Amino acid sequence: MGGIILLLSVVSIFWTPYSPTQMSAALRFKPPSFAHIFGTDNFGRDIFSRVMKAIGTSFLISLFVVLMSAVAGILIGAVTGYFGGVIDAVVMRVVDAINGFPSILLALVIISILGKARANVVLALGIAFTPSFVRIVRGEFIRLRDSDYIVRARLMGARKRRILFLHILPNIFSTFWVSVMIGFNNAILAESGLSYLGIGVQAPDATLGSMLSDAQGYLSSAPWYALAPGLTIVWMVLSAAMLSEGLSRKKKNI
Amino acid sequence: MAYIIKKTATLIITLFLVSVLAFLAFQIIPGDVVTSILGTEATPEREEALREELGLDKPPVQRYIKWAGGVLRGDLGVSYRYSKNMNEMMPVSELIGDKLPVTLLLALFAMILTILFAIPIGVLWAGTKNKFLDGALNVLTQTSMAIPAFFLGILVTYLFGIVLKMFTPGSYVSYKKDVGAFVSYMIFPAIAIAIPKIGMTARFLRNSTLTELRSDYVRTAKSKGCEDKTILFKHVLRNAMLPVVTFIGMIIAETVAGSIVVEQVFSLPGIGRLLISSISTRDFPVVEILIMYITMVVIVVYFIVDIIYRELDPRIRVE
Amino acid sequence: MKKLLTFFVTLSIAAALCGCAGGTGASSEDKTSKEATYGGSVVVGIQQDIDGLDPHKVTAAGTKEILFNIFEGLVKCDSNGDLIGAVAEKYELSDDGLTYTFTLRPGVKFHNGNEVTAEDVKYSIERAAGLLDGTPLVSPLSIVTAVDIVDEKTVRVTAGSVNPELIYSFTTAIIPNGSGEDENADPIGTGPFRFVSYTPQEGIVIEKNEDYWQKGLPYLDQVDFKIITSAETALVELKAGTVQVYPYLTDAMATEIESQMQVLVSPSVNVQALFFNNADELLSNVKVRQAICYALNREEVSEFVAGGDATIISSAMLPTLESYYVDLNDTYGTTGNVDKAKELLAEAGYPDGIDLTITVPSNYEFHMDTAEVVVEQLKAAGINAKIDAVDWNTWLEDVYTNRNYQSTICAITSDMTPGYLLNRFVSDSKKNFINFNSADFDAVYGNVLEAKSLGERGILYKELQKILADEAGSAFIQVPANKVAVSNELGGYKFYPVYVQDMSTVYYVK
Repeated sequence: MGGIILLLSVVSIFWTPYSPTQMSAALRFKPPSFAHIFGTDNFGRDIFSRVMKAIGTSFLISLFVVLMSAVAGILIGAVTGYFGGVIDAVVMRVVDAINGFPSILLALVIISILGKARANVVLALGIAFTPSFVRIVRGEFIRLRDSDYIVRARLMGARKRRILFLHILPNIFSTFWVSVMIGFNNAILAESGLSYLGIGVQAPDATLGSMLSDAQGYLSSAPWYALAPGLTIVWMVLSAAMLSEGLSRKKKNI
Repeated sequence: MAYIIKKTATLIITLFLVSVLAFLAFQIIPGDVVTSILGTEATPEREEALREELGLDKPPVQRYIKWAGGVLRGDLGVSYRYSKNMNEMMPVSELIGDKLPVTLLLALFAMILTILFAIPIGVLWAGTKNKFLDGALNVLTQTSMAIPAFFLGILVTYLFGIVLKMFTPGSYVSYKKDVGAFVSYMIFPAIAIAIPKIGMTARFLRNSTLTELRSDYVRTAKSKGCEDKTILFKHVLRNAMLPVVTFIGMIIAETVAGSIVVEQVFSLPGIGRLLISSISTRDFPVVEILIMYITMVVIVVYFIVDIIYRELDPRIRVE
Repeated sequence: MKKLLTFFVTLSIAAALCGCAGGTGASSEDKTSKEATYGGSVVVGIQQDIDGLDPHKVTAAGTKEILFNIFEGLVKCDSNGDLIGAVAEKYELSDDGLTYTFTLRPGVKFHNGNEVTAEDVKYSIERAAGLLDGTPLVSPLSIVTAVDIVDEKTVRVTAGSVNPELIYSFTTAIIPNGSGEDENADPIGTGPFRFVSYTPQEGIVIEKNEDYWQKGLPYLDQVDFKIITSAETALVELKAGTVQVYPYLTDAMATEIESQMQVLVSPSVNVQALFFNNADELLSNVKVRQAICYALNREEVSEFVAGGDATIISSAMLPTLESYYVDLNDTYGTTGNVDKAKELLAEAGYPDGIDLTITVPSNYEFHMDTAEVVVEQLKAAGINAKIDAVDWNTWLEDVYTNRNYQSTICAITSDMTPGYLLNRFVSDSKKNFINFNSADFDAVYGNVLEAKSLGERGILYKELQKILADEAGSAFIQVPANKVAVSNELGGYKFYPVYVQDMSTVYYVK
């Protein structure tokens, strides 16, 4: 299921059935047909071609968001969880603060400091997603830091960096992996949410969220316009969820 | 007791940090509140006067201290944007006080719906041996969690509003005017919020029930000849509900903190929409208090859940 | 020697000079004579929250159009764009054009029941002109130097310099003496409706002023201005009948609602353009600017975003201001000339095309849609444009205040004064956000200020439009139509050439 999404997004780099930006006054609001399987939008653009492009965009952004926040989460969570004390207290308060901070405001701040580019959308979402990873990693590190084998390693004089990244880290991966997949899902949802609210990737480049936001104005006259990007988001998230479920089942079996 | 003091201290420090972050954010993002209020036609004298009136001519640190001092004295300030009458601006406390019930009631309705549906579904699911039902519920709950809030809002609007004509989207009536009309409108946004939560809670309940079913005491009860149903309802569920309580707590925190998107889609005048519009009009005093409120709700709810958990499960207290 | 102008005379002058939107034939105003009934209440959908309740301080067009029902000035605008007496019955203008003597209309009452006095008028004008605290609230009135009470029915206003367009600013609201400083004052005016309540994010409610000086008005007992932020919601509410009047139909909405409601169409007062930052390195080259003007197919833009219900323009003047407007659409054509555009770009030294950033305020869907079409059209001429969507306040700061942008698509909302759209393009104007810098334009504008009559000004305004178009100060696109949905049960809705939702003439038909 997820394969089709991947395939579509890869193909969209080289080919789409129509140009995703080509407008045509004659083709406005055509319902789905053989020529335009998802129909056309208010500018007579082919919705399927736009969805194809948008999948690629959403997929890449979400991927980088998860990568960024997962790596940041590991680094921060490991240090605070293992060492505890003042660093832990300070960092966790900052993490709490970011948690309560509206991601839209965060995105506005980052975009106004660094300018508007896809990378900065990633950065904004990445920061917003980091706290949850920090929590998970920190929890695992606290659980493991006093376990027998770590205490033993410490007594044997292993260096801190070695303990953190060679002894503890591999042991939390199974738990961490599940949250990465959940994070990926949330990233897809958050990215579409941001572009739904008009922050993020710029028109005329399509994202699923911005297409939905445009389509909302034509809900009663052209319901297919909203359905195509909406269902695509559901499909993307669902296939990622199924994938993660499959993975965690496999893990249990081992 | 020491625990409560420690938690309260944490809360205060976090709130302080959040307020500083929000203040910094407003220093950074473009958009001058004076131009925002006066538009493009104002005379320079007018701009100067307003800047002075809002205290924006003072250096940032001084402004923050003045603002924070006010908050500590219980004065949340006045909105830059909303008028109370011809000459006075709306006090933030009054503005939020007016919008908060909408969000709180929305959260309450959503929670009732969640509990009403999630628990039976979860129990049914855990108890079923029917492969088809198991698979169907799995796909259904997964799907419910995969729908973004705004798309779900659009779908609910389209299905109940446009196709079935069960309500008129946008025709929100204030609870002050007509409680009946208010409730019958709020059901629909509550459904939009509840659907993914029902999916999540049901899955969660099923998993924790299954875990309990595999535990030793269930095996003992079974070997003593207890009926499956008795075991499920008398023993297992009570234990399985424990993590579910936590989970529902988190959901409450999430919805009470404002359902920005759902409020937007259904044009509800709640705090989520207030937050968005206040960010876009650079209404700093309102945004600042709203962000602190959201942070506080999240922390306090987690805190309460933590306490309930300790009370319910003695094992944690020992640790 | 003073020249006496009664409103009879003023009216005809204003009609001749201001043009009248209602009479151009382009508007489909509701003129059918249906039998009017008194009473009833109406819900009017509005798009934005109001920005205040102080009539001198509010700036948003969306607020002024509502407050029009509550407040009145010494004079007010009628639906033809003419000025008629309101709180004042008539006025005299001295020969030197500096002194206005207003005679108050007897028996005009505020909503609190008190009769309007000369003190109230003096207070209101002084407050708006900044004579009370040095802060003018209504910019054009800042040239007022004194307001004197001649007798209890006569007030004399003296201006420091001549401005034939100043009379339009006496539409400034008359409010009770001291009410601008009273902390608990509800908005009190003399208009056909009185203020009832305002709830942020929900709306504003007004009710009938029983003592209104225009006998027989208003018809309705209550009007509820309800904030509806999304077009789709508005459409559903219109269909369900929970909203009876909605003034901002998009083209798509209009098509869909036509069968169920009256859709009235009239030219708006918004001048939409692709504005160039003339100080930008690339766009300081006049050939590049002209190339972009040629590359635009404005008819196609209009078809896509306004369903063709728009007037294509090539310079900064409302076509409805007939005595000032000059049609310059031949300058660049209206259907796009890609070859000419490429040729000019090559001459300017860019044979391989150019990159262009268009900043657009993202809250305006109309401009966002326009931008998408424009980007696609410019592509054909080798202009690689990209959209930078920003929120409104970012736009205000970056584009308008700091002029830190390359090009932008937005609209200027004009008021009734004919010079409003042009005076901003003088090189040192504070409002010249496009950094237009033309010695010719500045010179002609200098003559405008010298001109003592509106007729003289009219000729000069036409010259200014031509200079602005020839030098391609910006690529002007269109004045889109206003489309208003009005329930079939209602009659009497009137269009104004300014942003106004006059509810006093609206009634339920029998």
